[in-house]
Amino acid sequence: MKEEAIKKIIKESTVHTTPGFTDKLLLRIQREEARMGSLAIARRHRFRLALYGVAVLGIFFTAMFFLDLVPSISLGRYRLNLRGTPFLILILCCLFAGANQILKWDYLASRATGGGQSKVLDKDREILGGV
Amino acid sequence: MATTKEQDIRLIEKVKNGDTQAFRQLVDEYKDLSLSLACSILKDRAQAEDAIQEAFIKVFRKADSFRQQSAFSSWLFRIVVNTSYNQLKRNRSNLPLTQITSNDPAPDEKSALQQLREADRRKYVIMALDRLKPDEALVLRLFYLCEHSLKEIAKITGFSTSKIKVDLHRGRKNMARALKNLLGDQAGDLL
Repeated sequence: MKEEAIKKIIKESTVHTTPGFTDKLLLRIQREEARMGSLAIARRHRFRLALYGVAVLGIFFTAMFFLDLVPSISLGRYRLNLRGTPFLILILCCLFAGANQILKWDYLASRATGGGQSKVLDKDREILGGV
Repeated sequence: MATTKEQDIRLIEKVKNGDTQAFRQLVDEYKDLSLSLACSILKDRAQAEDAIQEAFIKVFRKADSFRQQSAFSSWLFRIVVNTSYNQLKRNRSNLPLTQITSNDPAPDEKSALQQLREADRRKYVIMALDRLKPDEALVLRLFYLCEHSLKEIAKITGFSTSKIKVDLHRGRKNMARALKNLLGDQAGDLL
């Protein structure tokens, strides 16, 4: 088959999308973003609760060590003599680092979701009839 | 209006900032070509539309990963081709296009008979392409319809240049044979 003939033929082989394809696509993106946003919030909430729980336990044990209520702990056959101050500093550093990370995640998450709005702009919600 | 490469880059930069109007322009520009490529692989229009929807969603979500090392169209078509082949693997089917809807452009000054002839011709061309292997139909469309070079086609498909040349050669021969089978003596008008 001649080159020009095949080129002309293939040029006629464009398949057209169904009417409203773009609108449906944008609507789907908007819906998925809203769904992902709420899933992310729920996941973040559960994770945050768990971290708060660990932080509370950490503070409790830190207080115990600081007040010298638990000067040493037994690990099987071994007795570990804890000196309050270094261990206290270590635990406090971990707690502050953890709190900092939680705040950072919160900030990034709220940035990613546009501070509560989805990536689809409000004007597109109007065009698409809103969800 | 057809976008230039520079316009595509400007639009995708806006999409990175969440501008859905810019994204809409890109979709309107490339949706038909993308669907044609997906149909080459999937041979089923409904599945092809689903595949390109998935592809465009990936483009929207991963706009940040477009690095301008290639043209936007190459990047988009690579996503479309990969999504379509993944869909094909899931389906393991190769159904022919059963629905040839007429999405012809609005009537112009051509006669009704001429428009009917063109619509018929397009239908048979699409049917003939449908009878080709996915790789051959895909390569023919990328080369002649999208006017990509062999190097760009290699980047989009992951095929070697030699395979692309072989598929082009076989595709042309099989296309001619398919058209002759479909149209008989009238194939001469096209060929």
